[in-house]
Amino acid sequence: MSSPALIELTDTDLIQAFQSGREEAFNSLMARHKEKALQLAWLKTGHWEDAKDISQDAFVKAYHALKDFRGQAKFSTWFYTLVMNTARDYWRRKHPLRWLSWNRQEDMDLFFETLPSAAPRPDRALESRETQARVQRACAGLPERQRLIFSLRFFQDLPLAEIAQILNISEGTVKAGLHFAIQKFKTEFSLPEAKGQVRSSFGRNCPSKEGAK
Amino acid sequence: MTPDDEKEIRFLLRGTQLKKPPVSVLQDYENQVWDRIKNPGVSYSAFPLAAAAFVLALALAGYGFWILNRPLSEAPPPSVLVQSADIPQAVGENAPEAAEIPQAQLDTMARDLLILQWLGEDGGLLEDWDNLPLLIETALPKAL
Repeated sequence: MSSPALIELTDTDLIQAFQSGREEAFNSLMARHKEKALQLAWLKTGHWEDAKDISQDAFVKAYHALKDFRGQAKFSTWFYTLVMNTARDYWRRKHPLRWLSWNRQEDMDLFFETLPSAAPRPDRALESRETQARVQRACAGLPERQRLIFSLRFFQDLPLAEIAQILNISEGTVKAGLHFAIQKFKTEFSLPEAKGQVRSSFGRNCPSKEGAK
Repeated sequence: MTPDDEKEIRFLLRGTQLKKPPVSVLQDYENQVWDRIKNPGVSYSAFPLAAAAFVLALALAGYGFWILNRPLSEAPPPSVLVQSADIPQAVGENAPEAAEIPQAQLDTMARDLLILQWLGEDGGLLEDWDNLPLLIETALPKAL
């Protein structure tokens, strides 16, 4: 387990502690990043057990590589890149013919869930459920790469440059992928335009430009 | 993509999140990583089977390349139309009169195109190959 003192340290401090021989610092890094690493690998594979295998393997690689880590990039970016590369290798080894049958809608629906704290008022419950279903469907309809870009951008709040590094593609490709993902999301969502709403193909639930966070 | 696009998407996604890992997956997670570190070599339990399948995928990719390069590197035989006139007519009165590409050849080209598209899907072996879209475009008219 991580000691309380280590938990308060930044990633950079933890890495320095690890490099100076305190192996327990690696536990803190694991505790801090395992959930996102699991989610990333899961977005790639759709199976938690595979995601666990991948993320743990990535941590093993990180353990050995951290001794030479010089902090040229943020640890999170470096490590999530490692996770994605491991996931890519793993998936190609385990499912080399996956493109014959993947992208099935029933698998994709499982990637997202409604926040427990987002429980709507009773009078809006039905509308909210409909919107959630549309969001789920629209997200599920995205091709794998667009879904990854979309998820890293909107669920993990990562900047485009970091997404590009993690997915090992150019920033331009990320921008293009995000553009197409948003267009496809809009098309899938496709509520009828309501009077008084902002431009939108999103429909009645869209905020005004000023009102949106 | 504009900032307004992002705002609207974020508004729609406000009640949605990526699924959290189940408790069973998180249980004993760190200890298992330490086990792997102390006992290297235990990974990818399905690898032998996967390796065989991967070889098959490589063979498919090779076949795709071969199919892809064949029509581009070889000029069409000049006597195709003359030969087609000599094709024995099918029994019955509905046999084609004009020279046509045999159905079997059409099927082959359509299948080849499908293989190329499979290989070029997200995560496919040819996904990042720059010439893939051009070659598919080249192959497409031949298959239609």
